[in-house]
Amino acid sequence: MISSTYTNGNSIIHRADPRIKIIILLTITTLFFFHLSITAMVLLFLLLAGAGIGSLGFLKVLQPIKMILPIIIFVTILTPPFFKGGDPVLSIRDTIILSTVGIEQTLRLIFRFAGITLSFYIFFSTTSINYFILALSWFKLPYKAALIVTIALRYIPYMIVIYNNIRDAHKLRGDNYRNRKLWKKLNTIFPTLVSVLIQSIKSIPSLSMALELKGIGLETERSQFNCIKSNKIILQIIITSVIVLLLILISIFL
Amino acid sequence: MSDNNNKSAITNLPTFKIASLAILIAVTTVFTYIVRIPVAPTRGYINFGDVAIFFTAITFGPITAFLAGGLGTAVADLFAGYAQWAPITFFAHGLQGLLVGLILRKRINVPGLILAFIAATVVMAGTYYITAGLMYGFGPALAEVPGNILQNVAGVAVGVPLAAAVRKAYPPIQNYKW
Repeated sequence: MISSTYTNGNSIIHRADPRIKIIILLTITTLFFFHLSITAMVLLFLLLAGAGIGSLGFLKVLQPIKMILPIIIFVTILTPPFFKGGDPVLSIRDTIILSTVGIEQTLRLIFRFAGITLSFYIFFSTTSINYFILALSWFKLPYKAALIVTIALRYIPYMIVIYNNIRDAHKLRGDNYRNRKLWKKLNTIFPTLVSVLIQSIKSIPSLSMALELKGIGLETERSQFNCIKSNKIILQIIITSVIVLLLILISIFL
Repeated sequence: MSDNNNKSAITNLPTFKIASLAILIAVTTVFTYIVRIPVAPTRGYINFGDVAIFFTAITFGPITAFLAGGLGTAVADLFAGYAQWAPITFFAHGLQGLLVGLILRKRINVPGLILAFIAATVVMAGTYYITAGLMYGFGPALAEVPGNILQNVAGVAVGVPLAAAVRKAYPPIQNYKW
């Protein structure tokens, strides 16, 4: 069952303001897309890995890297043949298989992808979805948009339960979900999907009425029950500015 | 008041759009993340996210398909641990839903379906190919293109009959387009 991507913890990154974390995430992602030197890329990645290990633990940080391992293998195999500049490192007769430029480009792509993956993983593991939406609201995400996403997140577990119940009911009536042929699998799942969709769509009018009764459709100014409580916000802003500046300097001068 | 009048009264509520979008985002997320069919030759999976997008585009129209398709699949990426793809997924699948909805807005026929399939595939697979190419190189990014085309095949092959079956089984849905 889906609950959240958030991992409980009390590290500095966990406690940091989500608005500040969004700014740092965007800075890091942007920096990885610049044509940085390999040293700068490795340093950025190590900084991220260190932050991840400090806040989530070593095994947790390994998880996203494991997930992207097939892509990293693809990049390692497929990138070098396209870059044959520089000194040849490995060649068979006159054909260059591996060159210094090929190695450099492969490493750059691997660290870029791994770095972006890790930064997003750390962000969503240390920031709860509710705080993320509140931070987006602070960045002027319209109230209705934030409300829609919040309701959707509440409904996802309910939809999963509906899907599982309907599928179990169909199984009891003899539907074979383990059929090997794709066409038969689709034929088996089709009635389940029809039932799930009808059940879901039938809940739209009642949800709509419930929202109406709560005064959601009104144009009057709304008060907010939840808001981001941040301690020492000025200190956090100063530290963030220093981190962003350092990251940019590392990227330029290394 | 008759049932039809009730339905039209509800669809006119300002909260109807909020409710329908929230439910359809949840449906798209569940179809992407939970409903999967293993494909034996590749040992991969076909997810039903595109099926939900085609269904939404035909039943609820292009704007709903853009928002529900984009946000639903992005949330699924977030839960599946592929958060780095979520912003790209929002645009890739959102535009896919928007185009399918626009093309099939007035009439659903074979040329329209072919055009919708081509447009959806080009936009979705193209967006993923370009962004994946920028992230880890255009050579390795090619490996994902066949899978994305297959997803669209599933979208049109299952999503269109699904929309027809749901309309037949639950006729009030015809009033829900906006």
